Amino acid sequence: MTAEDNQQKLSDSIYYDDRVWYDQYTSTDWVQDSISDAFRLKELRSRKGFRGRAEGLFDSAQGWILVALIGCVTAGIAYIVDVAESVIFDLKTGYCSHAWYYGKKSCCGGASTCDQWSRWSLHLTPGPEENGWFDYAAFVFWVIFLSVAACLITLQTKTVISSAISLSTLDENLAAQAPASGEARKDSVGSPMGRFAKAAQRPPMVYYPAAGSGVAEVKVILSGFIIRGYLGLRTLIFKTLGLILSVASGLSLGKEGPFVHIATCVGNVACRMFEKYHVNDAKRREILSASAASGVAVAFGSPIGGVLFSLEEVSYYFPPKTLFRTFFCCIVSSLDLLTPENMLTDIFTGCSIVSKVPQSLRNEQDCPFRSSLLDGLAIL
Amino acid sequence: MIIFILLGVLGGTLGALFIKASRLWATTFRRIPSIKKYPVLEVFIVALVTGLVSFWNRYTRIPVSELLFELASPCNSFSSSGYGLCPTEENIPNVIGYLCIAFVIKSALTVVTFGIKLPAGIYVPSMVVGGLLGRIVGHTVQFLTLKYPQLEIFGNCPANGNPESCVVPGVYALVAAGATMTGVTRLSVTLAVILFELTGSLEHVLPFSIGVLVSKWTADALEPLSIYVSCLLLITNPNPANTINRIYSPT
Repeated sequence: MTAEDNQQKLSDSIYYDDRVWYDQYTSTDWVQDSISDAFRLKELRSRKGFRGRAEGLFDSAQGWILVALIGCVTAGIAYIVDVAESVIFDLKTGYCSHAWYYGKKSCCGGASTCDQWSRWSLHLTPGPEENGWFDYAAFVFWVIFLSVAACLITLQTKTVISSAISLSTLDENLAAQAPASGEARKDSVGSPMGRFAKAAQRPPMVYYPAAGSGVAEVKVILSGFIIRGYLGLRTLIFKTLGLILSVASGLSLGKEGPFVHIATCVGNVACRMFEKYHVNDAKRREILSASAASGVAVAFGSPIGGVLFSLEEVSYYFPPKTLFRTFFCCIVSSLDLLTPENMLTDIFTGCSIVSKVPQSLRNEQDCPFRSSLLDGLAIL
Repeated sequence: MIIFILLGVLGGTLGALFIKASRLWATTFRRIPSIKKYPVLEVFIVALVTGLVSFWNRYTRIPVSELLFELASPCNSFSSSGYGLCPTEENIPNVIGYLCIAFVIKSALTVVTFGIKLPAGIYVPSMVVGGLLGRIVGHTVQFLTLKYPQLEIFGNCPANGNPESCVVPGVYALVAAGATMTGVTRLSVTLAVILFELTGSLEHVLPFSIGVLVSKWTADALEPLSIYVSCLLLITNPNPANTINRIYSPT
């Protein structure tokens, strides 16, 4: 058999069987996926004529379109979460008497307190004078109410895994018992079917995709592990809603970790648009690396920090092409956070990309480029 | 410079202790049968405690991200009363005491909250705990320099009345925040970059980087696993059922 025959055979066996379906909790076959993508590309390149070339061009543009879209959507979700969370957060102390949908700051026009902000004690106290204890009671009530509501939303995503697969945990549950290694060794002695039967007797594992920050799981998924449903639309919606309430409840938790998970969900859902990424799990992970980075980029307002986060913490396969695409994704998502008023000046002067960071934190009170550049423009 | 190394050590220790504490909490409290069965009950208890405890201290009441920015901000004016973050010399001990209370409350709540069944991140809470610690150290150093301005180790600090003329506690807070987050998550380069992208100042790159470096070494020495890896080990523990699945899977 010649080498060409061999290659033809390989191509038949791999290319035509185009999507590899993986089982839950197995890992992707990186080699198989990259070979099948190479064959797909080869076939695409061999097409002649204008139409073939246009198809090839569109194929290579898909990745860029996808990450730009992911960046925009992630930034949008982050914006919604930020706004909603800050309004609900202030609800714990009182409400705005002229516009209930305002937080404390916007109600009082930037001041920390004012008359329009009516505290709960004003309404709840039976007597004419205010009683601070009612504020306290209202505060405790709201903390409990918001966090229990967030918890109930989180519990909606309950997922039960059949007991044939033995995993201790899939969310950040340090209380889960690790399978004892001694028992594991004893198990592996028996026949495969015997082990299977034994595994089926274990109680099914329950986990909640929306709980915790999700960074650990994103890390696992990017290294090639398959967890079905963890990055689905359902998780995305419930996690976003739950996050708004849980951050607003004022418990000691941050929204930055969940942003990584939410962004990765967005990436995963967006991958369904293009078949190239939808059917190939290894290619899909390149996009997921970029979207995880954009999560950090919008959370901390630092695009380069996002790229490095993807490189250092979550990604497993990170060639220069993915690096650059990730960078692009982070920049797009950070650009989206510009407010309309300062967008023009910021684009011209190229500074203060992130409007979320208060000026007081910056060392320079004003952007150094801005004044000099504007001077330059004035001279021109 | 020595003080930044010290902050790195402190932050790393704090991060490592945090991981140990949350593991301890998870293996004791969360194993109680009724808690294990009803996650809502756990959330309820944690929320109740948080509500009861955090109302009385201003720094535990405001949102964590806002608190972080406040801790890191430099001062423009100084007040001699109250618990604001810009005290004059006489008021510094008061503020340190108040910050210490906030620090204890916040660290305890963060340990208890991690791993709860809510969408909850650990990044900013760990930074805030570190920021409180850094601010405490910063104010202490500030107090010492103001009290004994003629000492050798403080260099020649001009005693012209402005408490921030040679020690800026905000920088200490940010360095400690980064160091603690490094201790918890073991991110290194990323954190140094995030910190100076967050502040927009390239002047403090060196203190941030030193804090992160030292903290990473300290934390690795005390507790080899990051908080995420200790979760991951539970997922990817090699077990026979997985190999069965691979054998019988149709691929």
